[in-house]
Amino acid sequence: MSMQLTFALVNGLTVGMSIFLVAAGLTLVFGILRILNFAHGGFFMIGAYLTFSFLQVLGDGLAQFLLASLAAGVVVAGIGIVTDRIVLRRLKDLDEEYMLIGTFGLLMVCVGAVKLIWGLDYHSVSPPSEVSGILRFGNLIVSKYSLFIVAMGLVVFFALEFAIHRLWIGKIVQSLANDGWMTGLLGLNVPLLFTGVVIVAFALAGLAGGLLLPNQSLSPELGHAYTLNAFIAVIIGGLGNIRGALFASLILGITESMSSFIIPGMPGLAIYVVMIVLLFARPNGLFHRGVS
Amino acid sequence: MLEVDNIDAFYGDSHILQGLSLSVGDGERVAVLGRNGAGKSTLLKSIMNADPRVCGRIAFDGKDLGSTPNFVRTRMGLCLVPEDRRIFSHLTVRENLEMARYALPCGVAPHDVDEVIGRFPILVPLADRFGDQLSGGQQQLVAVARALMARPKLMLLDEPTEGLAPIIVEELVQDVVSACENEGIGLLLCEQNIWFARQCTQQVTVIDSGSIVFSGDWAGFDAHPEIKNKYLAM
Repeated sequence: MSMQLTFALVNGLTVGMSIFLVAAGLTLVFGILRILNFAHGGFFMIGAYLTFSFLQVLGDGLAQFLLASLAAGVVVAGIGIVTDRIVLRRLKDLDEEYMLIGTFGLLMVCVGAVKLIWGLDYHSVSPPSEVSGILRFGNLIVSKYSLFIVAMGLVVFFALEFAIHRLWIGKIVQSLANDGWMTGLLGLNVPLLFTGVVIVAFALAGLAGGLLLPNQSLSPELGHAYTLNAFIAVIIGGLGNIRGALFASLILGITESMSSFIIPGMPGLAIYVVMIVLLFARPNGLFHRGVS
Repeated sequence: MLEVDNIDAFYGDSHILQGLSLSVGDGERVAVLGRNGAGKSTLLKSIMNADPRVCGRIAFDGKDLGSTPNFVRTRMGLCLVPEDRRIFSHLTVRENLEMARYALPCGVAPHDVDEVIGRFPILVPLADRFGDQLSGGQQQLVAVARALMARPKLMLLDEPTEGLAPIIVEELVQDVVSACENEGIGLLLCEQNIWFARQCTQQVTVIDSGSIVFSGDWAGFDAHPEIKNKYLAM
């Protein structure tokens, strides 16, 4: 019994970190540009397909896999620049419903582009040989790839935390999030900073697509699969709050995993119960400290 | 230095400024008086291209500003200290001042942060406090200090005395006047506090419902007491 619980916990941690990898970029755009980017999952999917194509050239191996994922991040970041120019910049000062319609349209463009370029067939990719297989801790069996995902999630989290809380550019980005108007009046090129944030967020989406590619079926549906949970994590964690997104993702992952173990007859229910309870308890996010 | 020529400014459908013209010469200090809602803040925000939709010509240093974005106007030497101060709560006083170095025009050397803080004795012990740990008066001093860090040619001050204790208002007069005189900074000051405005400026303009109703020096203002009674009395 306890072994099964531990297994569910480890599994939940992996699911949570996967959600966080998608949620990180989403919460950046949400918190700083105040744009609810429905298309985020679409760009995540494009990252996954790009990694798939790069891997066919590069072959097996952890280094090749990381390189392909990073390259996907770079390409998606480039797509982000174009998207910012053509779509996001125009949506920024409009009402939310226009943003929802606009970014939903963008998601459909992503899905259409994927179907045109890579076709409708399902593909699957195995983890690179270095992180495939299992590790045994006593009776507990953990897949190496799970540990790899957890490690990658932590790397992304600490990199963002360091940039936002320790570097001067992080203070500028926080100024932009708290009061973009005044930031511009102090001589900072706000549109350029917004583009920078979009680049980072899209790069994270592309990278996440690559890192999470193995062990799941690659299809034009992939964009939807993670988006919903990532949105829930962003909302529970507080808009624009990286730390909140991490903890909310882990709570969601563990909830989902535990509930499929404890109440297997009602899959997916527990996540919504947790979301509702947390939104009642902390409506402004897990770590809201009251911005003046 | 600044020429505002027959501008109209709008918020949505509201027509706030109506055919307003005004100029500020090099190093000149001009007060704009008017009741709440007369259009004082809108005038300053229009000059900065920070929110209102503006028709008409605004020129600075002989250059037509057109649709120049606000951050470029700041770097040209215009610096707005908004009415609500807008001190960043996640930054310390020192960091708030450092943030203004992006406002410096090309090739202008920055001031030393501690030297600028030193000009405001109240701020010296507060340099490492965060923005949300300051009183309203302290925030106002930080906002003025931050503008001085930007080394502007023209400082736009929006109702700096609002909510300040009289003793701080007196200190603010000293700080503003000495900074302007020592560095040759021009001043466009929107105020309701006539005493403060008189201490800080040579010229005065009165606006009402988005239009100018008086323009001249303080002696001229005093020679027409009806202006004060009609447009400024509460």
